[in-house]
Amino acid sequence: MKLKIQNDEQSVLCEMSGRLDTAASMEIIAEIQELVDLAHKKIVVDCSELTFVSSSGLRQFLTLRKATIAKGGSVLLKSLQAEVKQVFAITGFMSLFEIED
Amino acid sequence: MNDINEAFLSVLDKLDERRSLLLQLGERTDLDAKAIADETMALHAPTAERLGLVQLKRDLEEFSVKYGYPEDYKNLKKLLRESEATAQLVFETLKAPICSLLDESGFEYRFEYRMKSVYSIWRKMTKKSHNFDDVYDLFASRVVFKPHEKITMPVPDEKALDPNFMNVEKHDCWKIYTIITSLYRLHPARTRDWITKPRPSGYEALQITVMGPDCNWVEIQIRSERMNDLAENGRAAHWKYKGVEGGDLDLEQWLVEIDKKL
Repeated sequence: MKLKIQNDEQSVLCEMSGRLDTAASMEIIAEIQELVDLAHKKIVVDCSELTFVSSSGLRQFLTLRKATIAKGGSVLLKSLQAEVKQVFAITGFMSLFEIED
Repeated sequence: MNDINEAFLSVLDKLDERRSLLLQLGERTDLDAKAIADETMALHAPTAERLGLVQLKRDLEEFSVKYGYPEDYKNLKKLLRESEATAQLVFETLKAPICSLLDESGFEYRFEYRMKSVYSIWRKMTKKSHNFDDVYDLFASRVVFKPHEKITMPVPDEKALDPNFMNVEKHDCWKIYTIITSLYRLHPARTRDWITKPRPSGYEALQITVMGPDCNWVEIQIRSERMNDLAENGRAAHWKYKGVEGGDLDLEQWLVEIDKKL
């Protein structure tokens, strides 16, 4: 699981790749904290290389959402793969996030 | 968080844990690899399929054979690789006359094939006590078409599909069936009509098996683009067309039951 964060003046681009399972969720805590610190901006998460998300992974997305709501930023999830979209659809996460194909 | 979410997330995590366990089987001599693989193929993979988690299902099946039956896996992988060029040639020969008639009938479509998975071949061989040479359908082909009449897709909050749209889709499926069976001999016992009665997972397709140009049976799946989207993207796509409003009581009950079993 890899997270690449690019911090620009107005927005933050985060490229996620690999499987966001329970073990990976623990590994990316520092990167998620970095995003939480930037949550006053628009955070664009490129999920085109994200192949799976578990319940722990979903919690990371929720953390991000809560932080942006609290700090006045926003989260946009881009290019979700079918498997990830499926998990988002069943859990109702599709309606919690702004999602772009 | 509601019941369906909790049950789903619990099942999802258990399926993922099983995937991780399978990956450890090569190194963990304390575990009964065959028993774990058998259980995964019987319980975990079908559960992932029902949830439309297509890639997870494929991983669970593939890893079950790979780590539960490593010798079989190695041999089959090699045989499948060696058969790929022949399969492509057979497909191209099969495809040409079908495409010609589909073009004449004004269909917008794509006709593609893919080699079957090691798991799929292994299961067939095990179930029927066959050798590799006895398994004739090493690849599956698929016609994915755009229905003839342009009808606007229903918006997600609509509960039912436009009945006219469904009829056009079905009509086109059977029309393609007629085209193919006018060219190739149909296997009488291997037609699967999943368009009249879709599978519990929501899967829809008309599946036929015909005698190919090399005198071997070839499976052809006939699907509209919508059906293909459902097959590839599972329930998320299902809700895109039918709407998720009102929940899915069957799914919820099943999730709670399967969660206890896993």
